[in-house]
Amino acid sequence: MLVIAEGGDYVAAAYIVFVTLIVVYIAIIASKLSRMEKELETLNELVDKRGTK
Amino acid sequence: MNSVLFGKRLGTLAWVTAGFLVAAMLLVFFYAPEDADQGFRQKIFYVHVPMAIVTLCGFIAAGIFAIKHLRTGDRSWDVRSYVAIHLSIMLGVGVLLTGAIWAKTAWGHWWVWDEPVLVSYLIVFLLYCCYQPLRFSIADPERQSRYASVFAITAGAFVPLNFVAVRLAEQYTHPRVLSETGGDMPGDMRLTFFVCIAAMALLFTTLWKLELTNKNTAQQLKRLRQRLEAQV
Repeated sequence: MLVIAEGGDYVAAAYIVFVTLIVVYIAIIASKLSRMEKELETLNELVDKRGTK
Repeated sequence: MNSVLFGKRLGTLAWVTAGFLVAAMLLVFFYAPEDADQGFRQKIFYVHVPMAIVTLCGFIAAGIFAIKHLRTGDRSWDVRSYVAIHLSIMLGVGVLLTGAIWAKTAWGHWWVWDEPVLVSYLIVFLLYCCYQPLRFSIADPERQSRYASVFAITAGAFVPLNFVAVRLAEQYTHPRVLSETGGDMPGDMRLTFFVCIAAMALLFTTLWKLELTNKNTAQQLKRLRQRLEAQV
């Protein structure tokens, strides 16, 4: 059985808060990156349109 | 902003940061001894205090970038300042939460209102929470960046003043970490603490550069789209 040191649950909670913040932040950046990818796709289509004209 | 490449050496920086974070966690849980008074729960110190120090330094750095913006008129300094404040606010949430968790386990209370360190940090945090509403309430980009810089300088000057005021105040519950009389940490704890500060500072810098790169790329894409649409 796993033995948790006294106050271990509080320590775990503090480190989980830290990791969660970083993960949420990176998720926000990742969503922005995905939006930029879509934007790039649109730009590629615009360039293709120009090429066919 | 186009001429600045914020993503330069970002990959290397990210790997160095990851290395430091892993080293810091190993030192915290396998090297640093348990505190004689608080025992295992004192391990919260290694995430809470470096995060608080880096956050306050981030606010001060934002003020310095804002000075550079007002002096040069270069908008890229305003973006640097904005991202530093944004990131510091995010980590500030972490400081308040981890601090509350530590306070609960060490003192038996989530928050102590008559402790100057806690209350002054909260005041600084709330002050910076006004930055974004102020910034985005101004439509004109030029005025927006100028007003935001003035705010960043004023609030940034308040951070060290606040530190001094707290040092001059009588010592209450919250321990002083970096002082001549307080902070009598043994060598192994001190080493762990400094590695944690370095890891946190590197993490802040990496995320700061990442967001700057992201913003710069989005801006360049927008310009490219406008140019292409004008030509089609």
